[in-house]
Amino acid sequence: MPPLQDDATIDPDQSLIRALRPGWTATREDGTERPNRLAFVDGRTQEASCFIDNDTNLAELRRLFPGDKICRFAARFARDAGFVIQRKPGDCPPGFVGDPVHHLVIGPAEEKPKKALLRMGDALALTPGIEILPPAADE
Amino acid sequence: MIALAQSVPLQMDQAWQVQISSTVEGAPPVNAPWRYAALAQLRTLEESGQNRPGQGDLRISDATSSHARQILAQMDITDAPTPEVVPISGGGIAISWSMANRELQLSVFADGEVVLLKTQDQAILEEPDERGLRNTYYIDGLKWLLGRAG
Repeated sequence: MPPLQDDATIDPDQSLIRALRPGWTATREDGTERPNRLAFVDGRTQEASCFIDNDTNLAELRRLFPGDKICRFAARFARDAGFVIQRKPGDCPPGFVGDPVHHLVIGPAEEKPKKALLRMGDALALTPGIEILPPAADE
Repeated sequence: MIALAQSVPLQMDQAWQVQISSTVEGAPPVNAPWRYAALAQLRTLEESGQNRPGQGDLRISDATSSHARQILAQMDITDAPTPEVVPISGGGIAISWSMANRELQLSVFADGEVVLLKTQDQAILEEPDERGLRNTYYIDGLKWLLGRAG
């Protein structure tokens, strides 16, 4: 649960990845896919798990969440939407084969009303540069 | 039956009973295909919800699903589009209707809070939360989606 502290060692241009459940995506007018606001909202903890974007972590997300879509966004997109980013190696999923310090959460610095949290999720989801990764070659 | 639907949380499947018994004056109409589709999606979410570390806790409690059913049973509009029912991490349920450039989303959270968001041209509309002031709050949202209310 918040409060969370933003980790300044995470570069604004650092790419982050997050696995999405079906229904956590939307389609832009140009036909491309993006996350929707629900992708970044947790009604209980107000934290959403993400990972540093690299080949190992991407492969791990695809292994842990087979068939689920994965979104990628720059850390600054999350910060611009009002989120802070904190490393949470202790909450890294069991069985994750990779560096646990690459597990992060995004969330508000202080607990927010749920409507405000949904608005933050919306702001991040509507950021033009956020993308849904194409499925792996074997998916 | 209608008094029950408006005063206490419905148990699983009671929302269906509300519809079946809707020959009672003032009851929600029987012919609301969107509601049947929404309840079927809700049932699927209840059955498939898991705690998925690294993604979110998608388990939905009986209380939360009953709350969502209760709200759906009150929305007595027959010709709304079929909504999409999606889990919210932390045990919540989002019910989203889309029509043209409008979207209505009801988020039912595990702690009982409900948030209604109206979106037009991808922008969330600013408006006061009138829940509690009007017992038609959710129905009015659906009317707005359908262009029947301001």
